Amino acid sequence: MIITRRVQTIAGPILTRGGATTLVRGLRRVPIIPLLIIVGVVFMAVFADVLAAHSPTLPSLTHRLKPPFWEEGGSLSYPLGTDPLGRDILTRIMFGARVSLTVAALTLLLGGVGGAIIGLFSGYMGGKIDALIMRVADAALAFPIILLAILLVATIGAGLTNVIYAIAMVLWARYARVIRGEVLALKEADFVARARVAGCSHVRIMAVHLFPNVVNTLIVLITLEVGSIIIIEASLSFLGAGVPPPNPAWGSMVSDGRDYIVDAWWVSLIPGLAIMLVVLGFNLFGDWLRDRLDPKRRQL
Amino acid sequence: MQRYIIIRLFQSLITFLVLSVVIFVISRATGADPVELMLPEDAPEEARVSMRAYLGLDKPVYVQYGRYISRFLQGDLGESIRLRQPIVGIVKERAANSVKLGLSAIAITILLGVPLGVVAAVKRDTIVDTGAKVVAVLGQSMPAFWLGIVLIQVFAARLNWLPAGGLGGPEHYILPAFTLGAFLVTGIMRLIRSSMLETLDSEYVKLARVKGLPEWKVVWKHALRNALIPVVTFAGTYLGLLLAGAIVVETVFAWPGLGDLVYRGIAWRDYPIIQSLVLLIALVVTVSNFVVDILYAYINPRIRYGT
Repeated sequence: MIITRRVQTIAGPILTRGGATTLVRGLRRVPIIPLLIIVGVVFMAVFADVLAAHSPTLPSLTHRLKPPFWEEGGSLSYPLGTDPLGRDILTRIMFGARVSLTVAALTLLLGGVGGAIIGLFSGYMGGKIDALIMRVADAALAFPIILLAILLVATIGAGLTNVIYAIAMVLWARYARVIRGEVLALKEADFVARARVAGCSHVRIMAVHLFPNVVNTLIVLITLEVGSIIIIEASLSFLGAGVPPPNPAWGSMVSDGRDYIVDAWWVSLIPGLAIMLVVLGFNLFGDWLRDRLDPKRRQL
Repeated sequence: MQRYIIIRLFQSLITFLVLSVVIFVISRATGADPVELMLPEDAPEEARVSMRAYLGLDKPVYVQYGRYISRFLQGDLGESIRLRQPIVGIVKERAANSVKLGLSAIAITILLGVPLGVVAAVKRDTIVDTGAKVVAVLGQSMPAFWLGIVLIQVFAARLNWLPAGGLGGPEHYILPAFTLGAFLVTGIMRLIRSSMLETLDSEYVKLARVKGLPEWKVVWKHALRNALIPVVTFAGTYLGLLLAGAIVVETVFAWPGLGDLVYRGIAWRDYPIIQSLVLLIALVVTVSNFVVDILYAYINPRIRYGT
C-alpha cells in the first residue's frame, strides 16, 4: 500500500518537470555571471585611479559628445563615448561605481546591521520597549526612502554622508522587523533558558546565543538589498539630490544626457545600462544566496 | 471589528506623530537661522526679537511643533520661496495630474501583472513561466528613470509615435503610465504567481475541478479570487513605491504633478515646498495604510479576531 503510493508521488511531479528548468537549476548552483559582474564592478571601483585613462571631472571641449567606438566617428581612446562636457563616459562609470558601492556598503552596514541589533534587542526584551520600537519601525517602513532622503539632502545639503544617513534612517526598520520576528521564536527555545540558568547575562545571550542564529537571515537580507540601494542612490542623484556635480554618479550621468537623447543616445543609456547590469548581478547573487542559506524564504 | 478599527486608528495616529516629528526636526535642522536670512545684517536687536516672536521661535520646541502641525492640518502649507505663492494653491493645481497618472499606472499594473502572474502559475516550470521570471528579474533591476528615457528615445525620438512628455490627450499618458506601472508590474506578478500556486493546490479548487467546471472558470474565478487576498496586504507598500516612482517618472516626462514639484523644489532649493510635500505624503501614506488594513480585516476575518 505504502509502496504504491510512493511510486505515484514520484511519478507525478518528476514527469511534469520540464527540461528547461533542470538546466536553469543546474546553472544556478554556481552563479558565475552574477559573481563576475560583482567582482568586476568592485575591481573597477577600487582601481578606478589606475584603470581610467582620463580625468572623471575635467571638461575637454574639443572632445564633446564623441560616440562609442563601434559607432561611426568613435575611437578606442573613448571606448564608451564622451558626455556633453567631453568627459570620458567609461572613466566616469568607474568613478561612479565608487559612489554607488560606497553608499550601498555603508547604508547596509549602518542601517542593516544597526537595524538587526535593534530588532534583536526589541524582540528579546519584549513588552513596552518592543511595542514602542515596533511602532517607530512601522512609521519608517510606511515612508518611501527616497522622500526622506530628498528632505534631508535638501535641508542639510547634498553630499555622500547625508545620502548615507538618509537611506540608513529608513532602512533599519525592515531589518529590525524581520530579525525581531526570528528572535521572538528563538527566545522560547530551551538553549536560551539553559544559558540563563547557567548565569549568562542578557547581553551575552543576545550576542553569543541569539545573534549567530539570525546571522544567515541578515546576510541574505543584506545581499538582496544591495541592488535596490544602488537604484535609490541613482534615483537621488538623477533628481539632483545625490552627490553634487562635477563628481560622477550613475544617476546624474543619466540625467546629464537627457537633453541629448536624439543625437547622442549613449550619454544617457550607457550609464543606465551599467546600473542595470550591476543591480542584476547583485539581485541574482542574492537570490542564490537565499536559496543556499535561508531556504524557507525561497519564493515558490 | 469596531475594536480593531479603534486600535488601528490609534496606531496610525502614532505613526503619523512619529513621522511628523522626524520631518519637523529635519526641517529645523538647517544650519542657517531663519531670522538672519529674513532680516538685513544691520537690523536692530529689537527687530530680531520681534521677528523671532512673530515666527514663534522664542517658544519652547514642543509649542513650535504644535503650531507647525496645527497649521498644516488647517491647510496652511506655507509659502514657496521661488514662486512667492501659497503652497496649498500649487498643490491643488497639480494634485489632479498626479492622481490621473497614478490611476493609469495602477490600471496598467493590474491589466498586465495579474494575467501574467496567473499564467505563470498555471504554466508553472514551462518556458512561459521562465520567460515571465526573466522579465521580472530584468524589470526589478531597471531604474524607472532609465526605462522612461529609453522609451522616450525609441517611441518619441526615433519612431515619433508618441509625445515625449507633458500634459495632453490620451496618447500623452501611454509612456509615463507604462513606466510608472512597470515599476509595480513585476512585484504584483510574482506575488500573484506564488499565491496562485497555493490556491491552485487547495481542496476547494480540486472540488471545483471534480465538479466538472471548465478549467478557465476554476482558474480565473475560483482560484484567482482567493489568490488576490495577499495582494491587498501589500497595497500599502505598493502605494509607497508608486509615490516614490512618481517623483522620478514625472520628472522624466515633465508631467506637471506633485512629483515634478518635488524635483523643482530640489532644483530651486525651495525648502518650504519640499518640507510640506513630504509631510503631505506622510499623511497620505498613513491614511491609506489605515484604510488598507481595515479593508484587509474586512476580507479576512482571522485578522480582526486575532487582535
